[in-house]
Amino acid sequence: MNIVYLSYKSIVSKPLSSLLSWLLLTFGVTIVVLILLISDQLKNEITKNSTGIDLVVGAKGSPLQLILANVFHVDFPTGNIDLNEVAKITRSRYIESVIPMSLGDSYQSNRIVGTTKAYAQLYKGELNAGNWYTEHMEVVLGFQAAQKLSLSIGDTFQSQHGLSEDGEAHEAHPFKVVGVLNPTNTVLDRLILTSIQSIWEVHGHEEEHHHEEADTTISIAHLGLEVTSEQLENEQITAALIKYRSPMGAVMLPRAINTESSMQAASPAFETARLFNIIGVGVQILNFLGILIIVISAISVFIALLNSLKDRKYDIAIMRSMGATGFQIFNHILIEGLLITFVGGISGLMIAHGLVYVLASYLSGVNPESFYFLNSEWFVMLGCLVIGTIASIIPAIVAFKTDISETLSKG
Amino acid sequence: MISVKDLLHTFDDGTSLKFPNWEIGGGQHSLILGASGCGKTTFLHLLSGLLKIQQGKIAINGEDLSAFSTAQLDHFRGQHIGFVFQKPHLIHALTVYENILLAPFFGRKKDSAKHAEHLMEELGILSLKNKAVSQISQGQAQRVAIARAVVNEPNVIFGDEPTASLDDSSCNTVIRLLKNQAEQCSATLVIATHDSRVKSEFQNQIEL
Repeated sequence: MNIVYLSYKSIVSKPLSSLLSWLLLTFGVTIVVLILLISDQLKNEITKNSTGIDLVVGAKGSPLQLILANVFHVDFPTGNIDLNEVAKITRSRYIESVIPMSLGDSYQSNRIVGTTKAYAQLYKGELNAGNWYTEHMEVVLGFQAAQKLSLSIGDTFQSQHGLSEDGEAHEAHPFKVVGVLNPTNTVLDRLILTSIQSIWEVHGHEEEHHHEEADTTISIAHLGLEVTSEQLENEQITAALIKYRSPMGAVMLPRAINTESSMQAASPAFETARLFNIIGVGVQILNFLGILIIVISAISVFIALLNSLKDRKYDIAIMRSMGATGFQIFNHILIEGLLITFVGGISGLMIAHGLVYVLASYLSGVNPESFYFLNSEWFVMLGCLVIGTIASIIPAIVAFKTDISETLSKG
Repeated sequence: MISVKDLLHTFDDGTSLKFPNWEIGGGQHSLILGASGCGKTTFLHLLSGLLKIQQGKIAINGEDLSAFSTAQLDHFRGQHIGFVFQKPHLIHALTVYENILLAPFFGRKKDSAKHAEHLMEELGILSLKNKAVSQISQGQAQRVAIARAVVNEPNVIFGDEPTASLDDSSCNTVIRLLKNQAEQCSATLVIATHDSRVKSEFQNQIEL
């Protein structure tokens, strides 16, 4: 027998009102913690996937779409840009490195990216097995893509045109797997990498090339590409990922590209910040809702305790007659309120983490760590206990002040 | 054992009650008699330390109750006093056994818990040990209340109309059980009642 046990039994003896308080608190805490976890993970994902990319150059359109398509591989590309123009404009002293990218095809929802080895190096992707592609129509798979597609080295597959599964198959141009990357926990894991020339070949521009086999190649060193003069003239890519050499780049380049070329330049940092501003209102409303529910739950704890005191006046007087001090009675009521809020807080926390875990298994490619606890979650727990204390302190004081003699003589 | 001297209690509405001086020897079971509303319960609450003494003196076992603080009174009750009320007033959130264990817990007499089961057996309620309070009969509940009052082996057991709502046979049983238990732990019974059935059972009586 102890005070905590007594409080526990008292909670269990009125299951309905305890259930209501518990449910409300659990629900409120779940919402608040879920928002905390998701926005933290989202920020994490964004930082992880956009590190090393200062600027994205692509076809004119929505700058946010340009970033989403070419950095996070979630939206459709804005269009194509001429290789020739990209080669010219990126030969700038403000630029440290440029990675060309060609999107548009996929295989079973995994995007095929025509690019250079530098793209994998951006995410510190290293070969787990096999080799880097050297010939046309060879691919290197991201770790998750290889697992999901059950492809291994030596296998071949036909890509689909477009980024959705119902795209038309490029039957005449099968790809051959030559390598698989290590897991990087970035967007790279679910991509299929190949050379830009392979993408051009799949789309039928290569035929002319075969007729002029003696064509000499031109090296575009800063893009890491070797192309024929004809390709340089005629071919297009989707985007170029740029890393600045100096902060001056941020001042000079975007304006130069946006005003002097037919292309647009967008900064991942700026666009994701803008995205967060847009969804921030929704997040704030949800957060407010969660806190409101927590406050309502505190009120429900308060009302439940105060109401129960009417029935328990005699219980309290009996305990006092047996030698219980007013302070013990005060603790008994306070602990009862705290137990409900503590259990509610903990279960809300667990449900939120469970939901993140479930979400994680549905959203392939995003790698939320569902068992990682944020510091702010401890603050939520602390907040629950503070609110539990506030809700139970008045009933506890009322119980403390119960007039034993008066109560017993009315019994 | 218990001595009352010049005791006067004034209620919030200004009316005051003067209680006669009274001596109760050790083991001398006693009755406080009187019609309803004449101050029996107030007298009992003053004697048992549930109510703070405003004027006059009460000594139990040589200890002066009027000198005690509220916390000291709480402690004194837990250590030396047991209560039986008109209704059992068991705590519904707890089982029968847990109700009895409350007395050693709040009375800070941990050792008393050890013979709780033996006591339950004596009172014929051991089979109800883990039952919810709502599952037992009124008569059984009264026995649980008696067990709760005596488990700490108090010096004095106070009863406030313990038989008022009982039929004749139950009334006899309760008085018999209380007397037996009081004798076993050498406690003194002090019962406030207007129940004439009880009068013949006790020699030392005071009429308010």
